[in-house]
Amino acid sequence: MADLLVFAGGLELKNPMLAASGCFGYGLEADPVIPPSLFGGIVTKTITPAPRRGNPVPRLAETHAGMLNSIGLENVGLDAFLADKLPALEDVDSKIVVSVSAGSAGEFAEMAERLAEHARVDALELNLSCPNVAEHGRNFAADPAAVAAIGKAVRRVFARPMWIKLSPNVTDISEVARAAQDAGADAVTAINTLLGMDINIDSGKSPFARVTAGLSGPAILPVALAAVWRIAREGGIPTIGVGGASSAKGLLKFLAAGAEAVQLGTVLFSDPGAPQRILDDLATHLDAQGHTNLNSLREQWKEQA
Amino acid sequence: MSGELSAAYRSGRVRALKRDGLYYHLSMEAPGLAPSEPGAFFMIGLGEIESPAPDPLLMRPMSVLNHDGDFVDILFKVVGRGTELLAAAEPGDSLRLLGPLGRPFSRAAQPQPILVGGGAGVPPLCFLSRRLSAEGIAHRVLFGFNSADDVPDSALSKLSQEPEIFTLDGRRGQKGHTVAALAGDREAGRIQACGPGPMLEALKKVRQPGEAMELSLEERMACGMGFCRGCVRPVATGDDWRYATVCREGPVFDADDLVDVNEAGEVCLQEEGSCG
Repeated sequence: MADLLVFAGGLELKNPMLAASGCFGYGLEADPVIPPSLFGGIVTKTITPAPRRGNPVPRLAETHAGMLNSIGLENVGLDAFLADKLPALEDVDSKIVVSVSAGSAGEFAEMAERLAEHARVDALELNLSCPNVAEHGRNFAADPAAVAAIGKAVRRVFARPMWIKLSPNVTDISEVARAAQDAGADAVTAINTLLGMDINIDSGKSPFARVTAGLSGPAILPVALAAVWRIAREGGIPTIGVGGASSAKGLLKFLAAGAEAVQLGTVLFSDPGAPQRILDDLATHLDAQGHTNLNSLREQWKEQA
Repeated sequence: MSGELSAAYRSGRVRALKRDGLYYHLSMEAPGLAPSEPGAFFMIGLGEIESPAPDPLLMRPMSVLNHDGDFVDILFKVVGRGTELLAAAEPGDSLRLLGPLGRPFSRAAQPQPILVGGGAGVPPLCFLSRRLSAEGIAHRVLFGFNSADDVPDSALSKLSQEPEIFTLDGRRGQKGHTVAALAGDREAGRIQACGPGPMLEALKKVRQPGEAMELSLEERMACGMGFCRGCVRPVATGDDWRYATVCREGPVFDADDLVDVNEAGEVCLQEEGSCG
């Protein structure tokens, strides 16, 4: 059976499959339907300095092969996360990547300093790109200077791997990736949700209180692949792919586009059997192609290029 | 989040699908499920568990009408694309089931349960009534429908006691709303209700002083397990409030825990009518 181990964004992961931020809560809610230890890594729900209630309902709408969400970074806040959520992950056999969002570079750094005190935090993912809030994380990821400033502020106080999650809602995502690289990030995560909306034709209005929402699911896979490819072809900074992967095939597409690992998002809602099946199918695929590990497959892709 | 999940994600099969009044009665078979309590629900999707179609993407939450071993029954109304496709299923078709999920209704003899269902809210109360009867617990059952044509007679015929039926068109049972039958002075019981929002709001107004009340709520869901945070309702926490997930902390809530919140994020006190 092929070995699925990968090195991704400065972490050694037992497999290249992670749970994406906001799509697996604080890691334990779905257990045992989706055992957290299946994943190479778990990116937590985004934590902010203070608790946030998030947006009113409706928070969800289904689209063709996708969904819109407007959760609004609901979270327990840093204090409760450190007191209740993080300790509960002690026995989970996956790397823990804590997603954080804040209103300024200084606040990001303060959170990073406190998280650095906890050995269970294997890495940080800076969420600079949530489309669903007014103040926190207003699309910093659209502004390379802001990305650089926040990245540098966190880098100064946090020595473990730092990932920066990018938004697809920009003209040139590779420019923002370069800013993340200059700030000393170990990887960029691409992509966050696409800005979208729905309209209720009776009212003529969006059902969402904040009008727009974030689009995710299989529909956005091609967009995410192109973003990863654009960043990866410059060769400057590793990427973690996310957006619409729902099968081993989708995961392999991301790896071939240049991602070092891949996060699962919406599929964890729609198909709780996916993580186990993806791992099984990945191993079967490698075995069938005569590869003992993922690097060997990567080499083959390179040779064919 | 409350307690560990007893849910499982299983492959299932359509045994039968038939019309019952305005509703569709879907009988399914799925091995390896934990037993359901009345008020629990399943996330249900069409297709093979090995390769679910990407469209429609999400499974749909459906209250349990009856659950006996490997056999699960639901009663649903076509309200959109997901239910439309489910209503076109044929015996033998593959299904995906995740469940049982959610906090069920409580079951106790005292104070006496008063089951109040409206329209598509009737199924979990049919399940509850049957279970209460099996346990020898005396209770009242009041079901309301818009029209006589809506009434799911086949599902109701399986109850051990005749429900009090109310229809707005007056062609079946008593004419009018179920809630009207509970107005005025009466002995306080335990109201256990599921139905449209206006019915639940009206029920709060006919509640006797100190009367126990459990309401089963509906909300759009994605994961059904509490981690997508898509299906929330405000609940009281001391002087403040927070969002609770309908899928995990509900769908059955104690009415006293539910609060209304205005656009400014303040709790509205009904007596002051500040929720306008």
